[in-house]
Amino acid sequence: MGNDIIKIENIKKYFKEILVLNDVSLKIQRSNVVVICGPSGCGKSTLLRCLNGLEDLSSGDIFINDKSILDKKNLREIRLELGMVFQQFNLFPHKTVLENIILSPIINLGINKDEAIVIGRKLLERVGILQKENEFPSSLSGGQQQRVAIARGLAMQPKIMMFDEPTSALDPEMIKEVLDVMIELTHDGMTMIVVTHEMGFAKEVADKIVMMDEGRIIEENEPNEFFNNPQNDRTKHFLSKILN
Amino acid sequence: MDYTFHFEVLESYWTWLAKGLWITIYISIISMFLALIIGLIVSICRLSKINILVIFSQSYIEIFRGIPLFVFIIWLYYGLAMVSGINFEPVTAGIICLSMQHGGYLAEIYRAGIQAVSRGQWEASFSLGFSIINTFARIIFPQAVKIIIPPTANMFIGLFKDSALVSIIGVNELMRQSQIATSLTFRPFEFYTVTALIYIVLTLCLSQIAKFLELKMSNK
Repeated sequence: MGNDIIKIENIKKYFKEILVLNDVSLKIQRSNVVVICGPSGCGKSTLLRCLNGLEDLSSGDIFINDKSILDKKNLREIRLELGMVFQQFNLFPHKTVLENIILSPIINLGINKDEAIVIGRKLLERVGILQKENEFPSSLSGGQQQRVAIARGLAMQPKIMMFDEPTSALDPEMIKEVLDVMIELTHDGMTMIVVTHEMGFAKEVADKIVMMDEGRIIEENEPNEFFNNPQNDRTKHFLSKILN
Repeated sequence: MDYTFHFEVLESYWTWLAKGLWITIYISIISMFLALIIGLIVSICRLSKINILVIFSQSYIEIFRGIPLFVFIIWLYYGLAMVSGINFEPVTAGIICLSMQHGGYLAEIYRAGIQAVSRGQWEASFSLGFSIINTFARIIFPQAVKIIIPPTANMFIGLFKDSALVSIIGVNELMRQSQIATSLTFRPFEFYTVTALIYIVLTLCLSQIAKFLELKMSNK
């Protein structure tokens, strides 16, 4: 067993006849932060969704902690190891903020309720919204909802956190509060995969940046090289657009 | 033309109508309850990805929603007995027909409600490790219920009035009791007017209950 916590091997994904992921391979090391970027429709979100089985693979294989996702028996275990944060937050609207966080640990990890509440409150404090614990998600701002969603993912004590454009649905003034929480997470050694257009964030915390286009990985590099010396023309073009 | 109402005839038939009302309520409540269960099962089949269940549920909905209740009742009560020798009590036959037909209506109401809950809710729940059953029971259905309540209440009101059709196989529910009373007294307008009023009052109660539930759910 190497240090690679995620191994993606030659995966392809079709939606009907459309090829969305075209022979993608990628290895991610423990405690690394990998940022995936690329134009919309390039397959980056689909790649994340394949990792925790929200989408089935058309071919290829993915190993999370050496467990193959093709084996349906592994799916639940893999999902427990992978936390996921969505662009649209997807909090449960009929549950309070605290209930959103403790529901899954109680049911899926078998933690008793009192203990779950203690853990939940700690996480809410960490993301800075403990005072909202008894409110419903609809009364929170987008930034606050996204921070609750991060806390909800963390409550499952995952080994890996995935973020699917976590700030794309937010008003500009709320982006920072969410990125701050994510940056803090990287300091704790969490393995993170982040699909985002926030290049400032990528520069600051990424160990590796992956550029995708038309279902392929076209460039994969550490941030310095990626920004200062991009190899691929399309990467150059993308960067020139997004950085100005 | 002038017609003088003689509502005083009702006095001697009051308990008679009350007995019919009781049977109407009894049939309606049991049928509603069964329709809720049938509707849920059929809609889950409809939304499942298992082919045979989808075909079963689609056929169920098309057949039992399409068949006129009148024909269904006659067929089940007389027809089935002739063909197979299976004999139902009239009340039982009525309940089966009402709940099966309205179960078909409800299945479509449920389906719309469940599909109205965003795909992201399923995905968030799966990502947290919930099984499909837990996802449905704890995350999706509670949200769908809120959407389902108003059309379901509407359907229950329909079921309640449809229950009058059970009179054709001799169940002495409210409608039939007032028909008999009419034929004994020759005072149709008195009895039918009062019967209509009773239906309206009970319908009002149903819609008030629905309003209350709706309000209670929307506080969440």
